Amino acid sequence: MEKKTLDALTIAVSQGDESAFETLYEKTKRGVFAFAYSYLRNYADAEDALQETFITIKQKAYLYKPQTDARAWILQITKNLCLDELRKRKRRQESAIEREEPCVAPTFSYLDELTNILSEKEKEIVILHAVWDYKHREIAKMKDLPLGTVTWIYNTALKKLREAREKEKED
Amino acid sequence: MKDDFFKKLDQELNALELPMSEKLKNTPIQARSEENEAQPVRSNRQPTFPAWLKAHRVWVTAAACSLAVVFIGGITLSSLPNPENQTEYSSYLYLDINPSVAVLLDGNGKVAKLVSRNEDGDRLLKDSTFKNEVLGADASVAVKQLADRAAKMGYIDLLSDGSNGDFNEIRLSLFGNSTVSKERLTELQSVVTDYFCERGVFVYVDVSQTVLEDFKENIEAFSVRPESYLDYTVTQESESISETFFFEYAEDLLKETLEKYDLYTQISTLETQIEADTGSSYWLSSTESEDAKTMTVALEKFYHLYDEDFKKADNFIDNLAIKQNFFLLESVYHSQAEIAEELRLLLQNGLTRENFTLSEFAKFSLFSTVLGYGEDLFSSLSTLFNAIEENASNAHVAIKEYGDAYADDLYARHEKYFNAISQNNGIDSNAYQEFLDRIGKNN
Repeated sequence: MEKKTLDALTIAVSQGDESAFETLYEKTKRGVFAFAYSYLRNYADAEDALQETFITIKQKAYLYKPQTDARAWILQITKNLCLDELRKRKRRQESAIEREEPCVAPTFSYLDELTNILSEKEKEIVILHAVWDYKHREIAKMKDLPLGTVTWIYNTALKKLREAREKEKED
Repeated sequence: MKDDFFKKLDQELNALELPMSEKLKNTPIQARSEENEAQPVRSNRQPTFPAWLKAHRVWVTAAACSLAVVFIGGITLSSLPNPENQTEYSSYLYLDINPSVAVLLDGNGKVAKLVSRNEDGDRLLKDSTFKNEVLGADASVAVKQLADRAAKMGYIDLLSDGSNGDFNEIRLSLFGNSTVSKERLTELQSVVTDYFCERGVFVYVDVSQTVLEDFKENIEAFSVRPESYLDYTVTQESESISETFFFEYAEDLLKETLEKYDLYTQISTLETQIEADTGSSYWLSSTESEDAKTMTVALEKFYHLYDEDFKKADNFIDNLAIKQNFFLLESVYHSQAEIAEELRLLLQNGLTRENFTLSEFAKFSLFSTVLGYGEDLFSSLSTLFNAIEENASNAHVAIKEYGDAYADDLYARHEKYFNAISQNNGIDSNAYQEFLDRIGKNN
């Protein structure tokens, strides 16, 4: 997902352009879904978060500041929605596992592996880098972490995924 | 594993349809207007600095580090009126090496305006003589000039072997209205590809074009320097400015200092191996020994990047004075082996307030001094941290000055190296096609 294109599309959306919104949705929906899924671990909730993210984008479009990173803006909206949902779950004493998935919900192998094996921080950094094309330096700035820390966390995450793959093969 | 896993993850995600819900479709966009114009949020807090920095004022004066070398860049070509001089822009081209530079072209395809888009872009365009050379040039010339400058500032890995996972990549993205020309983009792609092939450097040039119907509205956003993280930090997050930038700079300088140390260690090891290899004909010709060939490259690099006077392998072996100089330095470098490993571990874990304590800093300071690397930056960094101690505004100025000093340092060191290395044999079209096959980019 190229930053410049998304920035340009988001500027257009902030000016009321519906077709730009549709393009923005098409270009980012899978990334937003993956990001939300990593928090919520549930297809239906992640899909809801995706829809709510884009409803919020429409409702708050005028707040987007040109010359800022549109990806970061979109992901911040998604993250806030996911954290809200997790807080609601906590209040309901409800876990993701107890919730019923729709019978047609797709199953994931790689996304689940990434979601289940990695820590919160690792997941976020891996998704930002691998799905959203963020560079490590950009992630460092976005998360206010030293670059070395981001690289280190990313490499640790890859190692964990590699080890899980190897273990799976052995089994 | 990395590529394979993410490719499959990508496939998994691409299989999802995820259509818009009716609710989403029916939600109207709240567009920007005078009534709901976003107001920037500004903190009323006065800038203050963390206590840890104040407490370490003494060692702050001895600190040295560098800005990161990130590999991104940008160029812009567009057909819209420029409010400053009424020049008509026709399209927007983004050249992605690492320094981001927007190049706005007039209707004749000449550069009308150059805009840095990030900190590396600032460094690339810092030299006004260079900038003036690019202004007014044809897009194809400008692309080459910018790529050349980026290479001479170390943004292109000259020793990349062109294998999958070790290659340079430049991206050219062309934005514009319906007048965007695919042929023009292909021409620019060839210019950059040929330029690096002639110099024997493997670079993949990726291109894309986007037609934006509302291009006219967007050109303003593309044609100005985005607020830098530094500016953002100064205006909104001044409390953390010292800490954020200190660790960022310290990490970069530590990384570069360790690279110099590793290069020296490599030369030393190769020298021992060559000495021990009694069957080698290295003494007659350095081209007949793999170790000697590697050594030649390492010595060239050391000579050009760090001005150490033991440049070529033949001279190195034959010239006693040069070799004595090397042996003298060798003992100094070897004395730092333990510290080097401690610092390497520190770098791997990332420098933080918790692990980069006063004693760690003292080690780094000594290490950097012994290796004689970055003395000017060292001095510049002292200024920076003294300024941070005073107020955010002074720190802002000092950080920019540090960035300028770093830009000069990059160009001074890498230009010679680029000129020396790029005299090697070029890459012919067959070898380049094989390279594209290797990295999976040959469509």
